[in-house]
Amino acid sequence: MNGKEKKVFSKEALANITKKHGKWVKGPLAQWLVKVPERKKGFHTESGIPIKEIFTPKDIKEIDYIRDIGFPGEYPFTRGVNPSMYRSRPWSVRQITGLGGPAETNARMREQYAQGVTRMGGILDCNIYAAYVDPDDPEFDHLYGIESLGRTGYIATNLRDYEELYEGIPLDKVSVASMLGHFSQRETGMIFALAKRQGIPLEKLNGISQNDSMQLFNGNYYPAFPPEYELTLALDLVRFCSEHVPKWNCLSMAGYNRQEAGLNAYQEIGVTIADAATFIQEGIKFGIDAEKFVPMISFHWGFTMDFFEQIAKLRAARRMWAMLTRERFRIKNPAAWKMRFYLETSGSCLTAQQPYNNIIRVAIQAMGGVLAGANALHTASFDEALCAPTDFSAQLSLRTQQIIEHETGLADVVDPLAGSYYVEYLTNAIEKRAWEYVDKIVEMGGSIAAIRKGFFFRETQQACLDIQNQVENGDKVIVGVNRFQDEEKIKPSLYRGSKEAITQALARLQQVKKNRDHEKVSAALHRLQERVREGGRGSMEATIACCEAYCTFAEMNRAVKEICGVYSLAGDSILSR
Amino acid sequence: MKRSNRKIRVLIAKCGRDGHSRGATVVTAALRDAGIEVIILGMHRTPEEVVHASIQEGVDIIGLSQMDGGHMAIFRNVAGLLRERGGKDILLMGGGVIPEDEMAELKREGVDELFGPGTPLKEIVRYVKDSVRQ
Repeated sequence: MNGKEKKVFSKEALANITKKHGKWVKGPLAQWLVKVPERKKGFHTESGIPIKEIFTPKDIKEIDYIRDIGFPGEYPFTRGVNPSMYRSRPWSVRQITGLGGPAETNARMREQYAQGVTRMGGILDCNIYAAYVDPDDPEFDHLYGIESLGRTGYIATNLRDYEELYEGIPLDKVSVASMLGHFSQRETGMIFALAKRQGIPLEKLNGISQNDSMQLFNGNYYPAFPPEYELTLALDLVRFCSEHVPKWNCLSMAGYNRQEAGLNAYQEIGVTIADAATFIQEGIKFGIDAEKFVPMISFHWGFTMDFFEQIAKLRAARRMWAMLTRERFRIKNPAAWKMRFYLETSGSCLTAQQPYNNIIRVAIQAMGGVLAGANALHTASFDEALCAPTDFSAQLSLRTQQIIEHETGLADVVDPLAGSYYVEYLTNAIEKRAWEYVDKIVEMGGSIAAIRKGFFFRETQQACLDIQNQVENGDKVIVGVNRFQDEEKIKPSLYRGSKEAITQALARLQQVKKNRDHEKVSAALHRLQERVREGGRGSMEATIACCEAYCTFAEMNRAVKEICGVYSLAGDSILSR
Repeated sequence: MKRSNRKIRVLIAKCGRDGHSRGATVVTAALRDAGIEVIILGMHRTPEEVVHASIQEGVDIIGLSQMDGGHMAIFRNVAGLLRERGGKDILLMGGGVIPEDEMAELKREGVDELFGPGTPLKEIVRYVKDSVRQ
């Protein structure tokens, strides 16, 4: 059979459509536009892909159905990674929680668990996981502000806090997530150490470590450890899981973070897939079996308000991943070809103005995610542009998912937008642009070379400015922000953190530090340093040992920093002048 | 050189450990587009580093972006260090996720201007130009 016969539409049909379309454009459309001109000059998606008034079979005439779209659960997985998708098993509800002391977060997780939520995500306070001083150090208040504790995530500095955090949550029955990119090894170490303490074999654990340390360097000036070290630390977590925790999703490529930092749809998937390719390539060099570890890679995508573009992005991403793993890396294990992803509605689309509007935004984005075949979903809370979610707003975001799942019928059919001339056109257009991005990064010598050249930062800066400029000039309307503003009449109650939780956390930390075995602590930290110095292998075992010895995040971070220093694209040259 | 003869100079930084940089990125780009010189000090900076670099670079305004809930301490510490170290002519502005009442409190204590989420960029550019020209 030749290629032509496989195409969706016959030559005759297309010729006829072309002819009729031409007539329609010159006739009815042109006449109509004289009377009723279009609202604006030219329509584009958020990433700049032109949108015509209608799309027809002509726009997707190059598609070979079997090659490009196919069937769900089959290569290239454009329609989804499982044959029956939500008809058999709805997407996983995974709500991210993290606020106040471990007890407060624990209460919220237990409540979720009681309601049947079995996938959870924890957000650890950034001033803990990324810090080099502990909250009981007087320096902490000066550097970060003690009252910041518990506002961006739960307060947990050591294993004792994790024991309380997961009290009553059976780690072998729920899937937990650690949503840290950089520093992932340390928090995952806490979870594994806790499982060991509870007598749960690691091979029974099921969960996620974001662990995508490359994302830090993609969008901003985040001062992490040098990229080469970040890569080996991440890979050693992958290596450890491939040996001991086979059900653990040990690398969750965080396109979401890249998008939130500013990248547009095709940049988000292009850059993230290029970084994933770097992880595969370096993972193989690190000595991990690609057939074993690539299937453990999953993805974390965002969904902004550009409904169709975002759906097309996700369909394109699935196809690209299948091609990358099977064709470029020649991986034989079909599990590796499937891009399983966790979708998060976009935090940066939430507005502080008229915050209740965000309920609608989140519902629309979540619907889009479901139409695109997300395997897990987090719906944001409407007050997140103002503070961490309250109990009320967190509950509402969970209900949003339940309404979509049970009331709309969206879960009853697989990939319902396939075959839409527009959606397939956009899927192709985004894929083409994203591959150009992947190739550009490969030509630069891979992700680390691109980081060191400042490529990602420039791209992110330009892309988010482009989007912001659309808002500024009114081309992109945000209700309540640049149109339809009004005096704020309704004010939601805000989460303010808890002084009591801070006091308790400090007391507990001081007690832990007093009672722990000091020799064990310094031996464990020393061992971690040694592993980091010698190329990273074994650093995961060393990290777990540190956690078991009740070392804090800050202590582990300091230990690693002493070996490899900190890498930042900005500022250091100014300070050293 | 007199102020009116040279470019306005702004230092943009983030203190604390949060990773949300988009606000700082966009403001940096908008100020540069408006002909203002911007020094990017980056993220995870200490109040000392911010004040030291600002005085050394002779900036007119410091812009801090805080999304981690530590804004009260950070703005107070930077403002305090500015007074202590001879940088009291440097204006201090900022933005991020800061509840309204806390914004008001910080402004009473001497933070010159704070911008909440959704502020149009031109408003920030206008503030920078107007307050430095005065």
